[in-house]
Amino acid sequence: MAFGLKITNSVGVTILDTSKITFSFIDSIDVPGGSSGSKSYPDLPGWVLHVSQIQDSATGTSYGDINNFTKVVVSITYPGGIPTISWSSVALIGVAQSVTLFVMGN
Amino acid sequence: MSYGLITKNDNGNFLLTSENKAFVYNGKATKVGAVFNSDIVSFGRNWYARDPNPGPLSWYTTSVSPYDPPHVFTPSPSTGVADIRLWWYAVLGGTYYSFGFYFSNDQAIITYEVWAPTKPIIFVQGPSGTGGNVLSCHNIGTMRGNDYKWSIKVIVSYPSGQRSQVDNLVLYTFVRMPDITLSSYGIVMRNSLNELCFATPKLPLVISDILSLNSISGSTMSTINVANTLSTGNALTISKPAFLAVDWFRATLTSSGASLVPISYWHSGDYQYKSYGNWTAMIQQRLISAGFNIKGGAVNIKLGAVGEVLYNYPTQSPNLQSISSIQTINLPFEIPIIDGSLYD
Repeated sequence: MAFGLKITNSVGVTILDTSKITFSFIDSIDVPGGSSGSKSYPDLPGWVLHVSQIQDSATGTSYGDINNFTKVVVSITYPGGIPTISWSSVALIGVAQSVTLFVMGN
Repeated sequence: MSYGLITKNDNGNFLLTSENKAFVYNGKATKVGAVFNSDIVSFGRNWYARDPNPGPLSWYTTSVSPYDPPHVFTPSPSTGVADIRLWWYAVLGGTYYSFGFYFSNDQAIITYEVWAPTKPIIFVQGPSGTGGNVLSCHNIGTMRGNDYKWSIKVIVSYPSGQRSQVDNLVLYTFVRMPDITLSSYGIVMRNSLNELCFATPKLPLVISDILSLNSISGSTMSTINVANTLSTGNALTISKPAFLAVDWFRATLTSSGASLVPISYWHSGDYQYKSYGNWTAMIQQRLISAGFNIKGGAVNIKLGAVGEVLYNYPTQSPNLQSISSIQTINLPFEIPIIDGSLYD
C-alpha cells in the first residue's frame, strides 16, 4: 500500500490492514420503536453514506413473534456536502421493538 | 475532528479511528441442531368423502365435510430426495383421488450457539447456492466470564436435495467493542468519552462490498424477482462473501394442489353419472427472507416459508405457490458484505 496502516500481532495474524477496506464502517445507531432523529457527520465532507437496518430478531422458538418488522424510514442527505441521516420509526408492528442502523460509507 | 486519530487508505477510507466504537469479531457460531423442512410438515390434513359402494348413490361424509378438513398427517423423512409429496385422499365411488402438495427439500432451520458479551450481529456465508438468515437470537442465560451463551436460529436455503450443504454454512458474529484491558502489549485507543474504539486483541469489522436491493416484482415463487446491484462487485471475487443477516421481507405464501374428482353422482334408469370438478387443497404460510448467496456469478436471493400454517382449507380455486401481501423495508435497501476469510 502507498500509505495506511497494518498491524500484525505477535503470531503473525493481521489485526488491521487499511488496504483491505472498500467501505468504512462509520456508526451504529439504536432506534427505539416510535422514535425519530437525525445525525450528521461534519468530519466526513464529501462522503457517500450507506445505511442498513438490523431488525430486533425474534426471541422465541415458534417464530410467532416475527409476524412483522419495525418500519423505519431512513433518508440520507448532504446539506453543504455534510452527510446527514435522519430516521423515523413508525409505531411498533409485531414484537420487534428496536432497529439498529448500520452506517457505512466511503 | 478536533483531536484523536484516524488512519486512511489510498481511497480515503478509514478503519482505525477514535470517532466511533467499531464492531469487532467475536467468533463463529457452532451448529447444535437442525430440522429440515421436508421432515417437519405436520400441518397436513386428511379429509375424505365417500360414496358407499355398493349402496344408494348419495354423498356420504364421515365426521367432517369436504370443506372442513380434519387434522392428521404423519410425514416421513426424505433424506436424499429432491422433494417430498404429501397426499390428501378423497374416496369417491370406490375410487381414490389424490390432492398433492410438494414440499421441496431445500430448506432447514438450523440452531447455532455462540458466546458473546452482548447480542451479536451476524454475517452468514455459505457455499454456492446456500445461504441463511437469522430467525431469532436470544440469550439462554448461561454465562462464562463476561460472556452469555446466545442461541441463534437460522433459516437455511440450499440446493434441492443437497441438505448436507447446511454443514458448510458459517456464521461470523461481531459485537460492539467491549471494554478490555491489555495484559501485556499492543495498542488501545479510546475516544473522548473514554470508550474503547480499537484494541489490537480484537479484529475490526471490514466491509468489502454492499448489496443494494432495488425493487421487487412477481407474485409466485417461480417468478418473484428482487432487482439488485453490488456497489463494487467485490463480493463476486472474494473467497468467502458473508452477508449481514437482516430481516427485510414478509409475505404470505399460498400453496395448493389440484385434482380432478367427482363432486356429484346421480342415476337415471340403469345408468350412473358423475360430474367432475377441480378441487384444490390449500395451505398458507408466512414467507420471509432466507438469506443470500453467490451462484453463477450473481447474487442469489432466497425466500423461505416458516412458522405455523396460517390457513388451511380445500377450495375450488386452484393456484400454485402464489405470493401475496408483500411487505419490505423501504427499497432500495443496503446490506454490507464481508470477506469471511479475513476471520478464519
